Amino acid sequence: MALFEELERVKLQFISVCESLVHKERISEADFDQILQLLDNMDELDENHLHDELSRLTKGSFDLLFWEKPIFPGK
Amino acid sequence: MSSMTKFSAVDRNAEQRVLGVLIKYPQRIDQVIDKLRPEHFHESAYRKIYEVIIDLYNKSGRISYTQVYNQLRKENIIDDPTQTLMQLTESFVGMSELEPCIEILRQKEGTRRLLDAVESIKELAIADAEDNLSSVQAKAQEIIFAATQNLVAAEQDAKSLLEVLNKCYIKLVERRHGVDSAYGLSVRFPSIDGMTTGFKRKDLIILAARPSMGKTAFAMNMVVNVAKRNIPVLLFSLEMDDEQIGDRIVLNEFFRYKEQGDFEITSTEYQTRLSDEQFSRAQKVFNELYQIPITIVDKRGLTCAEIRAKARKIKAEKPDLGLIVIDYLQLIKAPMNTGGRSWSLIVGEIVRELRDLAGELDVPLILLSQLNRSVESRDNKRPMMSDLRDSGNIEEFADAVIFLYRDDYYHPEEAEATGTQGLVEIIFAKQRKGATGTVKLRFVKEYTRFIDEFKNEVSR
Repeated sequence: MALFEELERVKLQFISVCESLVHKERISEADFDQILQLLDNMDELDENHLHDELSRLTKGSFDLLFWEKPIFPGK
Repeated sequence: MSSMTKFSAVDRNAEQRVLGVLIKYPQRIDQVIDKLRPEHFHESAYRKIYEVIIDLYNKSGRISYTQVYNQLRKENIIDDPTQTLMQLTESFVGMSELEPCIEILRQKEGTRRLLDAVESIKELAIADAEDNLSSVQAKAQEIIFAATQNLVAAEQDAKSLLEVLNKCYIKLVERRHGVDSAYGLSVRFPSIDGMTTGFKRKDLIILAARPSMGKTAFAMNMVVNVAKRNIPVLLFSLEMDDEQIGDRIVLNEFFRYKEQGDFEITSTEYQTRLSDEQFSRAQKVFNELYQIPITIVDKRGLTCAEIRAKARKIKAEKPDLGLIVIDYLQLIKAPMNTGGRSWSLIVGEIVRELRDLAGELDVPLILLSQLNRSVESRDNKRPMMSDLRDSGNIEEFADAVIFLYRDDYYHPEEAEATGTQGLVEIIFAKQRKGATGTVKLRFVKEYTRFIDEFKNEVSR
């Protein structure tokens, strides 16, 4: 699978997990919308800034979800 | 549909690949948007994703899986959008797959429509078994016709000015060289042809008059004039039956003997008993008329759908069909389910459908129409556009509106005194592709024959 598709799959998996957090009311709909925006514009964002923002919006769950391997292959 | 046919009429993989390419390379959307409709996707989820892709592209020109997901989630149509989108990433092969996969989708969609049509016709034949057979056949033809039309013919819709001007230039050169086909359809009345430069293909021409003005006779004259040049004509006669039409055509031809001045076969003689000489000359006329390609449908109470189905059938049998005439609008039966709409609205819809039929079959269509009684209450009884307006805004859909008016009908003594008996004004009240104005013909009532004996003076 090409890198583009690989990355999109990871994003979709991440979105799926975030959506389950919305269902569990761990994060709000507004947070979820911001997460989607960040992911959509991630090419234009600084990696550290992106990481911090995602951690903040997911209330720390982001670090737990992807602690084994980096979310963005090649970075 | 059996599981086997379902399997052969769907290619899920190709559907996924097309979507995968379009999300990754949105710049390709412009190339496919004319060829691909949501209906080409069998899977409802993929159909929705395609709609979302087009929508996003139209709004921002930018597409991503995240955006597509977001839109799907908002609309809440697909059960598991992430899983569905993941499948697209898995099936992606490469951009070169796009065109072949689109072809597969188009082919599969066409096959599905055919299979659905077969099912629908089967159900129709069973459910409506008690109905009139010709009505069921007309519906079946409609279904087959719809199923065999290409879902997208948009490739021909957009033409460059260069292409268009090229066609115009070729016509210009042909006219200069006197090529017949460069003009519209001539009806062999120089005054009329001068006004119209021939009836144009795809045009709807309304020929309207109050009763007894001679509109059927005039239409029949044109039908015969066209068909004598071996151009097939289709005539729907919702009032007169085939024999009446045949008699009129024959009688019309007898006028030549009167014109020559040495001989005559009158209407009364034709309807009673002819002498040997008359019979021999009548046979000559019959032998000539046998050759001319006129198809007559003389059924009363036809609906617009039945007219359409029959016209399509004749066009399929005679691809060079040159003219359709329908006599007349007010006798076309309204569809069964009018949904409480007014008669005026229904008439408007019928006229619009007939205009579309002319376009689809690429022929001029002359639709005869009566005029409302308001004409009679005026001092000047010449018809006006407003006389059509109570009947579903007919004039809006027509490319040309022609009225017939005979002053001698209203003022016979005056006509006798001035020698204007039989003078018919052909009033061109509207022509999208030509001038408006009035020309005059002479109506020889006994032979139901129109003659063009006047100078081509057009009063505008």
